[in-house]
Amino acid sequence: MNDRETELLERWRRERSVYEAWGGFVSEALTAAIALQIDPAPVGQFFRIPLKHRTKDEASLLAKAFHRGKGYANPYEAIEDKVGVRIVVLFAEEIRIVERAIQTGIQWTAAKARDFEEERSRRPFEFDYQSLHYIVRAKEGVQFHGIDVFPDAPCEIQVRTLLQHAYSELTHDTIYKPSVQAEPDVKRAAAKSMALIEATDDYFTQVRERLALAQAPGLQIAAVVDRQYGEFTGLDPDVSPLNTLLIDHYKTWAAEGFAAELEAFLTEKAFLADFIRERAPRELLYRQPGVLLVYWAISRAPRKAAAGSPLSDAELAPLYGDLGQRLPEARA
Amino acid sequence: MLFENLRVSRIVVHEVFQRNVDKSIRPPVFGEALEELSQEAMGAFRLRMTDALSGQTQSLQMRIARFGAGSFLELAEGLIGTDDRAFLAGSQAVAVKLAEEQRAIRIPGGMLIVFEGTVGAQAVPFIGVIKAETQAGFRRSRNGERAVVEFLQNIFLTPATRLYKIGMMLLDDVTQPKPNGRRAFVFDSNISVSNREAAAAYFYEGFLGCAFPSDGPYETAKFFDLTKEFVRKSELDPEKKRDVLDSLYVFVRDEQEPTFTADQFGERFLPPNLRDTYTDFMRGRKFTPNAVVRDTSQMAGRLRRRKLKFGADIELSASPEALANKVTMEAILGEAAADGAAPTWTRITIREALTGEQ
Repeated sequence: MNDRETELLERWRRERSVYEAWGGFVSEALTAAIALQIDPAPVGQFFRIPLKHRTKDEASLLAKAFHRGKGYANPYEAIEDKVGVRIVVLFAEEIRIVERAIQTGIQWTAAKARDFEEERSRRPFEFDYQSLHYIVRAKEGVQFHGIDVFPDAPCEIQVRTLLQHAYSELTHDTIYKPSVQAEPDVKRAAAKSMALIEATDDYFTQVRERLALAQAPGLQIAAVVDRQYGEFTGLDPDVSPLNTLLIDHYKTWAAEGFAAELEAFLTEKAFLADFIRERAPRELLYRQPGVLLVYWAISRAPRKAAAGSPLSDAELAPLYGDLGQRLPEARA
Repeated sequence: MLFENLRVSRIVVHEVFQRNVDKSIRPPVFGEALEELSQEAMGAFRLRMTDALSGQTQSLQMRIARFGAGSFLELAEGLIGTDDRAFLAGSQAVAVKLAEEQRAIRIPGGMLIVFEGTVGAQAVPFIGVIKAETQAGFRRSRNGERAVVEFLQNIFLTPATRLYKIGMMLLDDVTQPKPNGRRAFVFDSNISVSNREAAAAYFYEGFLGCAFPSDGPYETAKFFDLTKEFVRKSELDPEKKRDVLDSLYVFVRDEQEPTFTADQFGERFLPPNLRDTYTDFMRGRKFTPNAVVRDTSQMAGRLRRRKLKFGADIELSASPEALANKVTMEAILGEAAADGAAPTWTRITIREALTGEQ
C-alpha cells in the first residue's frame, strides 16, 4: 500500500461513521416521503427488497479510487457512492414515485446521475443495465442519531425494478471485464436477457391493469356500458352521480362475459336506442350509460331488477314498458 | 308475444253511448281530428297498454273468427297507411260497429280510442282499439290566489284496468289470405270462456270477431309438464318440491278462472328467488307469456294419480287428494354405512290400513 492509499483509507476510517449516519438519514427520509405518496398502501410492501444503506468497504473504495482508470484528481471527493441506498420496486412506473420523493427532499440537493429512460431513447437499439441513479448532497445542519453530517456529503440512490435488479445481480461488474467484453456471445446473451426483462416489465404492467379491473367490477362495467352507450345511441353521455348509483346497484349482476351479453342484448333490442334518444334531451336518466344496464337487468330478471333499485317506480315503469313488460307490483 | 317497442303513430278518440231505453242506437260522437299527445301523455298511454297486455291473465291471443266484409279485421286493415283524413273516416266506421255490437242496454258507453302503430323488435304494424269507460274524480288546481277542487265527470284511461278493454290486430303479413298472417290480442278484465253471455263477449266476439283459441288443452298440458320439469330440476329441497307440485295439481285442475299465465303460477307458488328463473325457463321453452285457456280435458289421466319414486325400484302411487290428506313423509338419517356416511331414508306414514296388493 502506498501513501496515497494509506491517506485515503485513514480519512475513510475517520469519516465512515458520518457517511453511515447520512445513509441512514436518507433511508428514513425517503421511506417517510414515499409512504405519504402511496398512502393508504403500506410502504413496507412497496419496497421489494428491504431498504438499507451501505457504505463502501475499504477494498472497493481503493479499487475505484486508483485502479479502474478513472483518473480522479481528488478521488475521495470524486467518489460519490461512498454511501449508497438501493430501492427496488415491482413496476417501472413506481420508479417515478421514488424519483418524486428524491426530488422533493428538503434536506438535500438532488442531481440525476443516470436515467435508464433517457438512455433508452438515446440508444434505442441497446439493451443494457438499467437503473435510475441520483446523487443527493446534504444541506447544512443535517443530524442523524446525534451525528452531524458534513454539508455536501454525497449519497448515491439507485432505483430499479425487481427485474432490473435481477439483471444487475446476474452480471455484476463482471460484464465489464476486458476478457468478457471480448466475448460477443456473452454480451449478446446479456443483451437478450435485458430485452426480455424490458418486455416482461410491459407485460407486468398489463397484468396489473387487468387485475385492477377484475378487482373493480364496477369500473369494468362502467367502462363497458360507457363504450356501448356511445356506439348504441350515438349520443355523448352526461355522466352524473346517478350513473354511479345504477352501476353500483347492478354491478353484481354482471358475471364473466357481460360485455358480450350486453352487446347481444342491444343487437336484439336495437329499438331501445330510439327510446333513449327521444328522452335523453329531457331526462337525465337517459343520458346515463347505466340506463343500458337497467334495460338489460329488466330483461334478464324483471322482478329482481325492480327490487331495491335506486330508481323510483315512475322512472322504472317506462323502462319496463319499452321492453313490453309490466313493473312488478310487489317490490322488495 | 311481448309488447315491446310499442309505437303509436296516430290516435283518434270517439265516444259511444249506452243504448236508448227502446234499444235503439244513440249515434256515436266522432272526434274531429287526430289527437296530438305530449311526450308525457304518450308515455302514459303506452304504459296503460303494456300494463294491460303483458302477463295478465285477462290478456290473451285469440283466434280470428270473422274476417269477411264488415268485420273488424277488414276495417282495421283498411286504416293502415291511409292519409289522416281517411284514417279519421275509417275509424268512425269502427265506432259505428262498436255501437251496433253493444246490443244489450246494460252495456255502458265510453271512449273508443282507435290508434295505429307498430310493435315488437320487428316493428309489426297494428291497429288497436281501446274502449275506456269514464270515471268521475277530483282535481285540485289554483284559481288565482285560491286552491280549488274541481269535480271531473269524464276522466278515462286511469290505471284502473277494469274500466277498459283493448283489442290489437297485428298485421304481420297482409299478402296472405285472411286470417293468416294476422294476430289478434285482447285484454278484458271480464274475459271468460265459459259464459258466452258474459259482459266481455260483445267486445271480443261481436265487435272484434274473435273467439277463444282452441289450443287450450295443448297449452295447459305443456304448462303442466314444463313446470313439473322446472320444479324437479330446481334446487328446492325435496319437501318443498312436493309442496310446489301439490300446488301445481291444484292450480291446473281446480282453479275456476278460465285463463292463466305461467307468471301467475310463479308469483303464487314459487319462492321469490326462483320466479325470474322460472320466467326465463318458460320463455326458453317457448311457452307463451300471454294467458292461456285452462283446459284439462286431455290430461285427466295424468292428474288423477301421482307417483313418487324412492331409490331405483320403490314406488308409491296415490291420488293427489290422498297424498295431501293421508300421507306424510319425512326425510330421516339412515344407519351409517361402513364408511361412516349416513344415507337419507324416508319415513312414510299412511293413515290407512293395508287393504290389498295388485
